[in-house]
Amino acid sequence: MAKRKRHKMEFEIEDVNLLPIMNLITLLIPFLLLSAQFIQIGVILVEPPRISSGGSSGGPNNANQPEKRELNLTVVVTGDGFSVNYKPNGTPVSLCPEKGKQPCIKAKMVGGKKTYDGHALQKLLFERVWKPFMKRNSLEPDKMKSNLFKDWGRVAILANDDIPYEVIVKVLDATREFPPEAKGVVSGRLACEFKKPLGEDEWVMKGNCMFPFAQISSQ
Amino acid sequence: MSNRMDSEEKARQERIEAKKAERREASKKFRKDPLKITSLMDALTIILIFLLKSYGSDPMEVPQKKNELMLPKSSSVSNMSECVDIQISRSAIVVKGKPVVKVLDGKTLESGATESSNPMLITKLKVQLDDWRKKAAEEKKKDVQKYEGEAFIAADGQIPFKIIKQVIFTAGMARYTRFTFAVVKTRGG
Repeated sequence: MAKRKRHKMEFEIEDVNLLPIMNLITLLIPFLLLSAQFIQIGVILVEPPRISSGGSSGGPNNANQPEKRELNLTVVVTGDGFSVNYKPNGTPVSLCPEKGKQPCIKAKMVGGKKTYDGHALQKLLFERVWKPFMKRNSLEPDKMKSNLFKDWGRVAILANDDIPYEVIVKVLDATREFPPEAKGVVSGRLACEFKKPLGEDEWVMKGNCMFPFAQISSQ
Repeated sequence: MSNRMDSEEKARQERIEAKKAERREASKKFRKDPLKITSLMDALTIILIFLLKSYGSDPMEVPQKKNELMLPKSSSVSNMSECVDIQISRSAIVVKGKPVVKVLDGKTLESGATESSNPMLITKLKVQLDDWRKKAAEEKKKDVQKYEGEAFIAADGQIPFKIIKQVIFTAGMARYTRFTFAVVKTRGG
């Protein structure tokens, strides 16, 4: 009896030997720190994804409504800046805050590097293209059939051969995402996201997008 | 008398010795106390879990290198999916880790890279992409003739638009209809 009591006491006093675990953890942490990815990589979709519901190969190309007009929204990127063209009434119109001046948004030299103002382009597209036509056009699959323009949500990006790729990405961001000024006009979070359901090939649009279906072509 | 004094002195000495020994014993006890590493263990376990979580969560990796391949920044929140990846660095076009065409000065393709009849078509790239599309179709058990591929393009931010255009056109000729551009996310998602 007495022996058992002493044994129990000894068991209580003894500490857990953490040394082997500490050895393991101190080895694992540097190894994982080396291979950890701190930069998150995202993607931008360039080919117009077909919206899953809404019948044959997406709404914009619906052959049942041939009378629908096309907006033909085009962003032209040159060495001087951005220009925006569209066809709101069937005839091509240049969309510039100051008429007659080409390009609409000039590239500026900042610190010896040419910089393009993506936010100005985003604001221009939102104020002059998205806002005037938002009531008669929608990107929601069940409302797309009654859209005024059959190519709503699409934008063509034309660029010169020497434009760096990062400028193209800036234009893609500006056309796809709503500007901060859209808060209050657009309900919900101002983020455009594409997701790919598991095991499927097509991307599905989620969130709020301005003109998410970008086509890249040359001048 | 002196004897008594001596014995008193001895007793005092002994008392001092005993006190000293006690103190020594106490300090020894203090030194013997085990290091408290419970809080350290907590912190390390949390770090370990965090690192394990961020380890290999993306289906593909894009090795970024300064002055070679730096992805442009974007506000996109979409995540990537597994598909054929084409890397366009300032020195070469690489398909699935295999260099296909050289890029000179980060601006132009090596001579003879494009077809003479069509300056947009990069011959070697099309052969590679055709192979990968066939492999993907066979893997998914779909009709090779009808299967449409998806290409993931990771290009350096300074690459001129002309090369991007040529790559997209070539991929299009190899029946790739979905394209995704790799970017570095500037906002969480």
